Amino acid sequence: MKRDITLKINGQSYEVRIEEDALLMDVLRKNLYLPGTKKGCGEGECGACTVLVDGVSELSCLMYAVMAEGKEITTIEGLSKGGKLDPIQEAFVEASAVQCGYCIPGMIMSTKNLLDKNPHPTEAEILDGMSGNICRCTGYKKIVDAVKLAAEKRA
Amino acid sequence: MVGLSIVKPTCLEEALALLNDDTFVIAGGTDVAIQVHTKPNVTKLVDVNGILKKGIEETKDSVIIYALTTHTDVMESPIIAKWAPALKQACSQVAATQIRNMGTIGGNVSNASPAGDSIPALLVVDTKVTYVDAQGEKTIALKDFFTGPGKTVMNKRGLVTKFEFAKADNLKTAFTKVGKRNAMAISVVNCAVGLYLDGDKIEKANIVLGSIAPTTLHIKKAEEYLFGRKFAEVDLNAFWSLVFNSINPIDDIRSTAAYRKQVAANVARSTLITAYEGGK
Ligand SMILES: Cc1cc2nc3c(=O)[nH]c(=O)nc-3n(C[C@H](O)[C@H](O)[C@H](O)COP(=O)(O)OP(=O)(O)OC[C@H]3O[C@@H](n4cnc5c(N)ncnc54)[C@H](O)[C@@H]3O)c2cc1C
Ligand code: FES
Ligand code: FES
Repeated sequence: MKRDITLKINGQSYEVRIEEDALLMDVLRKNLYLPGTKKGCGEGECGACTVLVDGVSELSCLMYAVMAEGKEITTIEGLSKGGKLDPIQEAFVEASAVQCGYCIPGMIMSTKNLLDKNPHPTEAEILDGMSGNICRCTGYKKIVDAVKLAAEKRA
Repeated sequence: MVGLSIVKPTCLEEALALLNDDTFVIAGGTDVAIQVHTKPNVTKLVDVNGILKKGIEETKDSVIIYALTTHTDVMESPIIAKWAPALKQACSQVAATQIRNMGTIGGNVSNASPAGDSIPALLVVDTKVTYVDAQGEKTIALKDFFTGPGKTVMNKRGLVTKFEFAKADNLKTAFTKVGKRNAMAISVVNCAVGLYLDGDKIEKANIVLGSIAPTTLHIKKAEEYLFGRKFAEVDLNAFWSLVFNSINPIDDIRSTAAYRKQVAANVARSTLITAYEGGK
């Protein structure tokens, strides 16, 4: 069954006609052409699909789009302002934390969730805060460096 | 796959009228969105986010946790840190941040997995669960709620609304999870201990293990052994043997029975010590 819904994404309202059981991840990528949010496992294990829902990190592969109505969704596309990257994005670039890049939007959304709650995390807190995101390329060291740099930039 | 319909009832009565074998209640959805793939009979999801409550409240004598409270809410609550540290530890070890931000306590308990991490921690503080079904509202001891793996007394026809436990100044608790790795791993064994103390004498002990039987289990013989004993007079090896001989776990994809049995007894013993020495 099709349903018409309104989603609020990156501060903008979108009206979309979707299958009633469409996942937020697929609606973002296919209906709204916001492909920064990635599909990895589709089962909650990898974090590639992480978005912010009312300010906290959630998995768009486990969320039906109709249940996101009325909430503020932020995707990776919503972080840069006026063509200028968010300090977290800058930190990932400067720390060379990106290889293939597939995991990075999710990593950055998780970093945002972490630093919004805890602006000065310890290394252990960084590892816990990022543990829902898997990277097949980097070995994580530079990702942890990027999170530390992001914390400094935001201070 | 047949398309699922997702309904958002506006009151409890409307939600209850929708429940049958082909519907799933959905709260955070972290179990449901995966379970629907293997349950082709399910055609309808009943979204309870608009009708149940979220949050943690303290009354004069008790702590109330509403069904939609997330693992993150529990982890960050000073009330839980003070009155049920084992529950804080349990929720902190569920999956990873995103799942903890989505997954609810009501969902973790209603899902009735023998590996559900909040369950042992809720049991050791003698939690009562309140649910509503066609017959009305009922409050029962959480230990009487589970009837099998994935099964509860609600029989898929009820809604959990809240949990409540008494604030006890003399209660010390601790929780341990053993998984294959830290993040994302479902427990191979989990354990919570609650000790009601009179000085160094144990007035009542709750020793609960998860993932070792079809439901989370109180280890009665070990609880009886501790009853009335001073902690200094507890023979930890005897306690270990009582736990070891009380359980009969199975082999599954996460672990073998023999490993589970050994680990369960070890973890029960170490969690007992942690609760007494380190717990609040
Ligand atoms: C990658 C991953 C890792 C996980 N790791 C862990 C872990 O380490 N430890 C752990 O314990 N769990 C884990 N889980 C399972 C899950 O996240 C938790 O059980 C969570 O608490 C479920 O809550 P929910 O709100 O998402 O439930 P939902 O998926 O919405 O519902 C779960 C079940 O409960 C029923 N239900 C929900 N709310 C109610 C209610 N109020 N009344 C009646 N029935 C209700 C639903 O019908 C369904 O059967 C994991 C899940 C995933 C995907
Ligand atoms: S795609 Fe959502 S967690 Fe992997
Ligand atoms: S950079 Fe390739 S998966 Fe992380």
